[in-house]
Amino acid sequence: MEYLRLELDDLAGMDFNLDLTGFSADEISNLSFDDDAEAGLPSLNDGDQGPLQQITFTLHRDQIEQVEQALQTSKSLGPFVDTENDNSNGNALARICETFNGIG
Amino acid sequence: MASAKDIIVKPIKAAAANKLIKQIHYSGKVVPNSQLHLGVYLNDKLEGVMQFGPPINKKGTINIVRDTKWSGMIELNRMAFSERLPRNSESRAMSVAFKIIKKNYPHIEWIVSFSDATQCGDGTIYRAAGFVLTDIRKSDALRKNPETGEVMHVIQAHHKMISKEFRSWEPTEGYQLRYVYFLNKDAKKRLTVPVIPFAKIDEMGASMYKGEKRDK
Repeated sequence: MEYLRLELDDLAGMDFNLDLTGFSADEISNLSFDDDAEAGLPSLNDGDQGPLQQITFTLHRDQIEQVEQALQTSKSLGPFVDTENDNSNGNALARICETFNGIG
Repeated sequence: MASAKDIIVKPIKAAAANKLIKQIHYSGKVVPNSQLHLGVYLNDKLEGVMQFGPPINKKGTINIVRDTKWSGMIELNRMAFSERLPRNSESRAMSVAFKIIKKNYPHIEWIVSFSDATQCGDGTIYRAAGFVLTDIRKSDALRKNPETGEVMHVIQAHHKMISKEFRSWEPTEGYQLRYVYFLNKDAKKRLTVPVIPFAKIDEMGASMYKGEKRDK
């Protein structure tokens, strides 16, 4: 594919009619890179690790149902206030944990 | 005839970078969390890409240089250059890219990159660009799906929730090498792992160039 792109680019550079190659305009466009791709430099985080972090858990299919049900119950207990976290599942999980930790 | 000095490196859109990577990177896959995309132009045509972003396992990687701040390092996630680029373009492009990063993101002290000597190469261009070698490891993190032939990383499999199935696949044969480039040369003193002599690559039988295993 890479060499095909180079060949087609060379032909285009010689003003060759690319219709004659048998490739459609879409196919040729898909092969070529976007020369008009310039962008500004993005801003990258220059601070510490943010206060919001992600944790991944692995669950069995049967457990997922339990977890989702518990999250819904937690959310139904009322709005989350002053958690500085917009993630509703995270807030719901934290609320469950607060309750669970309180039991011990 | 064009030389490596004729190339121009500048930031480009993620979509354009991803398109090029999918077309010419040996894996055909992009790293979704790449944040900085630098294009390599020759005669005003985009012919290469370097993508930078946090490593897939940042917590495990950041500790190789003691006291690195959370934002103090970045990974060169993907790099792909077309056949049209002249010789030595890779080292030239990396040199310019590192100057751009050093100037615009002074908080970044070092850059890590991994070379995949199971499918691609042992990092010849990293060595030419001034990286130090910090790990050579028999790779079982990459395994091939026997049905589709797709090669997947263990953490990618974890996110796709197919870890159990993943473990039944055959690991790709070969090594993964970890290279580090210090933008802040003083940070090298804080390296917590030994610098491995490049000769070790041959000694361990880890040499590979353009997907071909090389004998000692």
